[in-house]
Amino acid sequence: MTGFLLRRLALALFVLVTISVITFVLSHVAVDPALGVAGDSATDEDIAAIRAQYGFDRPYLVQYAAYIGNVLSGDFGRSYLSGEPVIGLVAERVPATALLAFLSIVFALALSVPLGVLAALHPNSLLDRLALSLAVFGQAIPNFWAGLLLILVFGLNLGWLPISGSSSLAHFVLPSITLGTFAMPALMRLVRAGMIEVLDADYIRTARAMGLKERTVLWKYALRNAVLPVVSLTAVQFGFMLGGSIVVESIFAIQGIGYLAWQSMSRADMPVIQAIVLLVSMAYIVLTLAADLLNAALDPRLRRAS
Amino acid sequence: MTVFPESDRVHQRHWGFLIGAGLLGVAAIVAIFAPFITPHDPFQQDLALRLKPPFWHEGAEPGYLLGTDQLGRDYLSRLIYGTRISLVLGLGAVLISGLIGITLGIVAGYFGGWIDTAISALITTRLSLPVVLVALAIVAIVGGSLTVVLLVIGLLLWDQFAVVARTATMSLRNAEYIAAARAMGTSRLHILVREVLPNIRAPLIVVATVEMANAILIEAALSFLGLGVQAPLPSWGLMLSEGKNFMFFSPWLITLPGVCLFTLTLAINLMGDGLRDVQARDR
Amino acid sequence: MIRFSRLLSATAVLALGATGALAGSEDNSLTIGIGEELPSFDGYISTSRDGVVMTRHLFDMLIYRNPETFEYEPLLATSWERIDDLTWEFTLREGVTFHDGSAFDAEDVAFTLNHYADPEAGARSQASVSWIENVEVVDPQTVRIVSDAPFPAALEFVAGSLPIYPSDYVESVGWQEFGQAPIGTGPYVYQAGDSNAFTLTAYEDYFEGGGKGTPAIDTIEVRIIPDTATRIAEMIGGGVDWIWNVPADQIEQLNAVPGLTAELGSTMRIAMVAMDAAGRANPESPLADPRVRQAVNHAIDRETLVSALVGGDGEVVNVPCYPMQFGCDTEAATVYDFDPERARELLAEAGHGDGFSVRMASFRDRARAEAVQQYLANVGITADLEMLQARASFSAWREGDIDMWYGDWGSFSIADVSASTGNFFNGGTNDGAQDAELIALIERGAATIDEEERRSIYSDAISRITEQAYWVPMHTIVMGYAYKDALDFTPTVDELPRFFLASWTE
Repeated sequence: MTGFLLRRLALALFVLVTISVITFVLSHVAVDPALGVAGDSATDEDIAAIRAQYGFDRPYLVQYAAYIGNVLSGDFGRSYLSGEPVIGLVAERVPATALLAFLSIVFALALSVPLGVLAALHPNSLLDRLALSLAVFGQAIPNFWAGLLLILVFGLNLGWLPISGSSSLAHFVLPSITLGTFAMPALMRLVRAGMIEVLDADYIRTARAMGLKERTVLWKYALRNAVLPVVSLTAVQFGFMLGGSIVVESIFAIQGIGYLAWQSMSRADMPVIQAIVLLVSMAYIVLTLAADLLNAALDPRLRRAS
Repeated sequence: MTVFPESDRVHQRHWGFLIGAGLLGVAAIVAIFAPFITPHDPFQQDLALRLKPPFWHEGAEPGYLLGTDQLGRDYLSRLIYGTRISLVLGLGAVLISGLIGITLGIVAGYFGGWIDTAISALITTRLSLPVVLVALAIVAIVGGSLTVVLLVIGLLLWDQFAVVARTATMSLRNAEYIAAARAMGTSRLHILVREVLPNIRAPLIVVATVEMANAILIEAALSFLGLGVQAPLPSWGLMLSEGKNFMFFSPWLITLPGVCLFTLTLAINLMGDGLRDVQARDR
Repeated sequence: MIRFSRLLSATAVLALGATGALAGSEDNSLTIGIGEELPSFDGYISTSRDGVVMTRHLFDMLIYRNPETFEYEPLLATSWERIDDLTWEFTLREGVTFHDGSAFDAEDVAFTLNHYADPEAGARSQASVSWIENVEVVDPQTVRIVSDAPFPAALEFVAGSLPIYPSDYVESVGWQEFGQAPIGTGPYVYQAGDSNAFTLTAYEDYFEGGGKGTPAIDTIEVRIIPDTATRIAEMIGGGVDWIWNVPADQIEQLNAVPGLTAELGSTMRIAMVAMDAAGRANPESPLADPRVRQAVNHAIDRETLVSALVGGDGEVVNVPCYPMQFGCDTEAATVYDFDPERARELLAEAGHGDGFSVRMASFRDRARAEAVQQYLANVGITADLEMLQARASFSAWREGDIDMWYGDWGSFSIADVSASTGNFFNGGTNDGAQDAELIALIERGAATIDEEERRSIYSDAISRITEQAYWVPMHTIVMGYAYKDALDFTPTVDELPRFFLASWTE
């Protein structure tokens, strides 16, 4: 177990370092940070002065070390646009995105777990086919298009739900459906496949043969085991959502980090962009790490293997 | 259809696969023969004929079957050329990502040891990068164009290829015929390309379909956000973005490209599912 | 597919009937939807249009220009007079307080203006402040603004873009924080909201007798909805009471929606395709050749573009200024007809018969920008179009990153040619021509007091600009507004919605 833990942590660390190199290249090498800091009415002398003042004239390796130092102390630089510290700008917007991602996952799970289980219980039935069609449908529909259609139908035509903003839970319904539809197919396929496999396993057959109630067999034994890979995938999907919410946030005017990223891109505000990429990646790493550890704790086989 | 080795046998009976393949075939034909079947020049604007509705609406303009856009360009012609962009993008991106991912995956799976550890770490790194976000950032720096978008997506979507190729290769590593080849002193490159690759082809083709659909959707999303394929190219995502402001009173401007995008990705996914089912049956 | 579309077109039609009846008239509040998030509420820093509008509500200038009569009226100053060529003296209103209760006096005026007169302070529009040499406190109710050279447009800027800030508060919190938590003397008080929205509440102790009157609407909820389609959707759905930047195309149909008024208001804003004649973006730029620039002028069918894509009473402009501005002599301009044949000939003469590529940026209207792109393509010029947000697009032009900029300019709503032509051909960062002869003319014009002489100097400048074809002067911009029928609101030509003058009629 300790070996597994250590290896897993080392991997996470490696990934973090690699990603910090990428974000450093994005913000310091691919663009000239001095131009961004100087703003648009700066003269050549101003820019030269800024380059010296901020140390943008040092070798990249030295700059990278300084960059890592700053990041570790929570300093992601200042936005070129507003001059505010990036960390504050991002922190302000995390709750909206986190809530959106959470609700979307809840929506996706609420749809995919029951449907996946039912489909697995009756393979090749009409229900199974319907569930699979839904998965195929959800996979193929472009989420920004779905968002626009939902606005037209439920926001305008029926007037049931608010169209944009994030001031109440009702505001999150349409965006969560839009984003959740994107995560649903993979989850449902996994639940279905996992259930089919587990239901076929010896211990379930034994349990059934012993005359345990079907409901007990299903929910207590089968689902618990089938759910293991779902935990990992949920974490993975959650990570995707933090990044993928960019389109949804821009359509529904939710001021989350995806929207902030999009705004910053059309303004070439690199400090904000690199911070978001770095933070979203970090969130993903932490989530998958947590999922792996949880899996290791839940799954006796894995525990013994290491 | 030699790309799909099993097609002669089982696929005739798999409806999803047939529908998907049929739709994709139609899309391919439309894309290849686009210049011959478009009724108008997809780029020619005519401001006097702008926002004409499709033929089933009142006030449709004869000769413009699916109406015109906000600049009076023939919408049908633009949709047809859009098929080209999506297919080129999807195929191109999958070629690049497939090359990268499969190479890494086979090498990792075959050699194992520290090579495997290193490549696995690389895969994990790639997985933790948010694709859309990174693609947007790069396009924002480099500037958007079809080539840039194709390269960026291709360079980002290799992870599943690598994962699947690695696992499949691992299970083959100790197979008898591989061991035999090794014993005969066959070069490693030869073993990897001639012996391993053909035997892990099937699951990789499934990955290719998934990633192709993915690439097409990501391109559309980038273009929709204004940081992808640039005007005047008729990318479906860009058309959606251009038509969005008009969706309340000229809804076909967003329904038509959306339906096209949906149909194409659906077709590719159906094919992928079909292949997967057949492989599962064969196993 | 057909059925599906039919269903959706039906929903769109149905949507017309579904307007929310929830007007803010019940509690005398107004919800407005604006497009841009404001990085700061400091009016010297946040010069986007939405920012300027907020500045007018939170702060006051010394004087006020009545949008209907165009007369100056008292605001923070009750009277003003010119002491000499360089000096204006203002007598300040007594009993005015800032939102935190502190008193307003001459010290605040001097503090604010002297701070931003220094270029280091980073006012985004240097033209608004660079003329100020010094601001002197005579006594607590009297202040003098001294310019470094005779500056005829001084009052325009005093009324238009110089809000006054509380010196004590700014000094205690710093400029950065002030932009986030502004306090002014204006008719509305800022209240922070989440990052989606903020609230303005009517200032109870707002002084009476100023040009702005006293506000009728109690609270203004400002929602930031960047996407135009979403903003329109919210308007139709009743989520907001007022929006602007509605595309001209949508006005007629929106106006047909029960309960909504939609209209196009003319503005002082002019659009242009500015060209990088000085070769800032590309030293080898084909645009350095006047024949190429003239070809670009001939290539664009402005009449058709205006009638199809601008709408309202938008009209073609042939001059590098708003025709109603003082000194904007339309007679002096060389006019280029739409003549693609001539354009191709000129390009061939200049050695670009095979065409060339340029980078073009724009922001306000994608359809218009793409139309221009296509007109250029027709004569062989490939324009790579970058649609950016207003600020980024403007920066791209000012930093000299792009060859062509299809932008627009509102002259700070100032009715003098120095605010338009003077801002784009003075050798500054806005100036893509960097023509020494022109720069000299502009400088002379800015410092000349005699009206006739100024007029003739600017005529010469306009003549040179159009002859050299540094721009394609395009058209005036019309602003699309949509709001609830029950809202008493009048669009003004200066594009500065005044919610302190608006009210609910029910």
